[in-house]
Amino acid sequence: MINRRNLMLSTVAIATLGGIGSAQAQAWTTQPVMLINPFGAGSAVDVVARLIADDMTARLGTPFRVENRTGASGVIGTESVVQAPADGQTFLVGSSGSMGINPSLLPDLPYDAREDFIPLTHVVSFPQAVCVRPDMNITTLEELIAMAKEKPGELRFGSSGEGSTAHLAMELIMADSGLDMIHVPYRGGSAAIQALIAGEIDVATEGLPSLPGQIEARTVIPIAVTSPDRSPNYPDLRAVSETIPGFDAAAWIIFFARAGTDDAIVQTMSQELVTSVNQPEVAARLAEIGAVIFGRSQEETAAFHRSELEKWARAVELAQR
Amino acid sequence: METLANLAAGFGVAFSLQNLIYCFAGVTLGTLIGVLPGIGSLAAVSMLLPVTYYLEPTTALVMLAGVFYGAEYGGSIASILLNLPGTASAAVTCLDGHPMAKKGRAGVALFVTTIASFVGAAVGIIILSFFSPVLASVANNFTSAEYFAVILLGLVGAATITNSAPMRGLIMVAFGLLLGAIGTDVNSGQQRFTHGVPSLFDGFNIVVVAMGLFGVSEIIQSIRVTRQRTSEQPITLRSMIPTRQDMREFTAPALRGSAIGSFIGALPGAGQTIAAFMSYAMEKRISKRPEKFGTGAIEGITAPESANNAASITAFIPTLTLGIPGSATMALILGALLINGITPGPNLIPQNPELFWGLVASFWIGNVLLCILNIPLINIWVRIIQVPYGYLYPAIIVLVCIGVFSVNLNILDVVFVMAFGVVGYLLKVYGFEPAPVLLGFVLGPMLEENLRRALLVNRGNFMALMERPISGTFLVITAILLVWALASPILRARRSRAS
Repeated sequence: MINRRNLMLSTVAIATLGGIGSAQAQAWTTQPVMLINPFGAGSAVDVVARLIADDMTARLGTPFRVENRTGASGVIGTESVVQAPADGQTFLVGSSGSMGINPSLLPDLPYDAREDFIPLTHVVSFPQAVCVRPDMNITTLEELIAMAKEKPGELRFGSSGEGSTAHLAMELIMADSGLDMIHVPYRGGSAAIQALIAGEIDVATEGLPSLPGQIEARTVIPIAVTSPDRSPNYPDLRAVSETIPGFDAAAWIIFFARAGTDDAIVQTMSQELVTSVNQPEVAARLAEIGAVIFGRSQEETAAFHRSELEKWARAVELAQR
Repeated sequence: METLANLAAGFGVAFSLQNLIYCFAGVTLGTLIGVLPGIGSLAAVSMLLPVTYYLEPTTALVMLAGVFYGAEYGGSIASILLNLPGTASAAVTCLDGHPMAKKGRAGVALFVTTIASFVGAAVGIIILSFFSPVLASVANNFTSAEYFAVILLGLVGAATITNSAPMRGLIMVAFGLLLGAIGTDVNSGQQRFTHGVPSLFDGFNIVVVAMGLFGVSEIIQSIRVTRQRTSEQPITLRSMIPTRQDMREFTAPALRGSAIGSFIGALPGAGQTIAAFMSYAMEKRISKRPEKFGTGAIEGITAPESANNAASITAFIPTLTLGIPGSATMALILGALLINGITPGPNLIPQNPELFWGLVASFWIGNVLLCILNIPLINIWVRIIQVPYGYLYPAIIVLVCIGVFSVNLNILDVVFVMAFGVVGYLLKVYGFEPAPVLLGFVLGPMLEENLRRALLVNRGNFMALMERPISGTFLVITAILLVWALASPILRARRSRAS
């Protein structure tokens, strides 16, 4: 017994000396830490959450589990985090849809995205790709803009739904370049891509991770990514910001804690998330699925989240005009 | 010939010990979740998804697929013996399966549904092997106009699904349409009848509606009625032997059901429940004795069971050939590939032939295993539901609650399923049948969504729907069906007056 206690004490001491952060020793009990993902298993967001959960479990010894509480565009899962105690055992896997757009889009949310949550770390972003039909014979955003200006109100763009990141990204592009296209919402991104292939629509925006198969087969032609920089996986594919300076409408993943969570836990969790996404193995898998790693600090993330809320509020206003 | 060579290579993959074990595990688990009301393949596949991290992609796919099509076999067992559908698509099987059991022909019904399931799956696999590119290009050309036309045909064709007075059936379809209207409107993003309750934003889940109206309501009804057990005896192999008459009535509906199921299954977004409803409606419509339906007609269980199994196989066509998942479960299965570093898309099969053909071969193996599980070993499953009602029904209620909870991990869904149980019970008490409610609920929102989208895309031009060859053809068939449905009673009345 004595030996084991000594061993534990010395491990903690070494951890402290090594600068890994002694807070983690007290931060979590042996109870599993829940990472609530308000969207379904198997999606790109889910793959990111599970990669991080596995890595943190392996590194920290505390089990981290991903739980998919789905429904109502993420409102139900997000609400469940507010209802959990602020003891640092439950965190939210927030995305641009649930924590960027919903606060402006949906009236009467059962929580306040600013007041009830503390942003921890902006872990990754997913570039969205603006795609067109191969038979339109265009390969750049400039050509699409020219075509849409020639035929105002005629081109049709599809999205994964009214108020989705894909829809609002296109609304921002249209507003910034003075275009007029018809929005055709679908039930989910793959339905929109199918409609693009079937020729029902002319343009569709969809997350890059689900597109490589279609891009490779040239059933859809990507003309630009909505992230501020080009995607490392497609270095030849230009960013919208090269045509519209400053444009950024990537889909992000930010982890959140409930407001009222102890600051030590907030800081520890934020740092551990940064460490996780930068682990070589995790980083390689993230790159493989098309995620761009950010791993921002808590302060940077909080500032980024505030600016995102403002940006999407403007986009929602544009869409509802 | 090339297909046969590929298939042979596929059997080489599928017969590896590991793949065989996981195939067996998949179909056994599939049958079990099919037997148990409430727990569906969506929940089972999402629970198994983390396991696939540690498996070869082919093995993972073989297992998850086994769960998916295995559930369609198991779904009919509880439908027949207890009048409780194990899966949403098996709700149709209750209509004639349970009356057969009441007449002491449970064994025959179980045998016939298993063989029908196998026929449906076999037709589906053959179509998947030989005609994937053709069907994929058809599915690829389906726009909202085509979806609207096909769904309209289904709704008009299936409006006669009940035995009660037509007006009562129509009232129930309308009730289903209203239920389907609840939730966020896809076309405008507006919320309807949600009263700000987030759990209603996506509308009611089909599992909640089907399990409530068919499952929970049946259990509530049984509280009042001390009824005869339909499943007291173990099912003997002898009791399963169908009569020659049964077999005559089996073949054509099984093939028609397989054809309808294969087609509907290949359309992204349609699914097994619609396939089962449509084939049942078609059999009833072309039958010389439609009054027999609902009282234990062989055709009434054969057609929907072959259809939902065929659909569960051809659902893999858009998923694997186009990279377009047709349902939530299919999206999960694609997710399993994504986790394993395989990107779904049109080049999936050329780049991973061993994966695709290994899966096709595993379909054959899995379906043979399912026949063994469901004919000689039927009593394993039957025994599960032969526990005395006093224990069984509370246990089923618990399972239903767990099942609907597992879909979204949302406790309100449990409340909803109980509420639908009460509604279903009241409907039965007042002589309304729940089947048309489910039909309206499933088809109504798809009909509206696709019509409005087709009009949006075509700038409000109705004629554009007629001008497209596929949608035009379906709309003409629908019109003929409508005229026939309206005219035939008049003609019949006139003829009887003349004689």
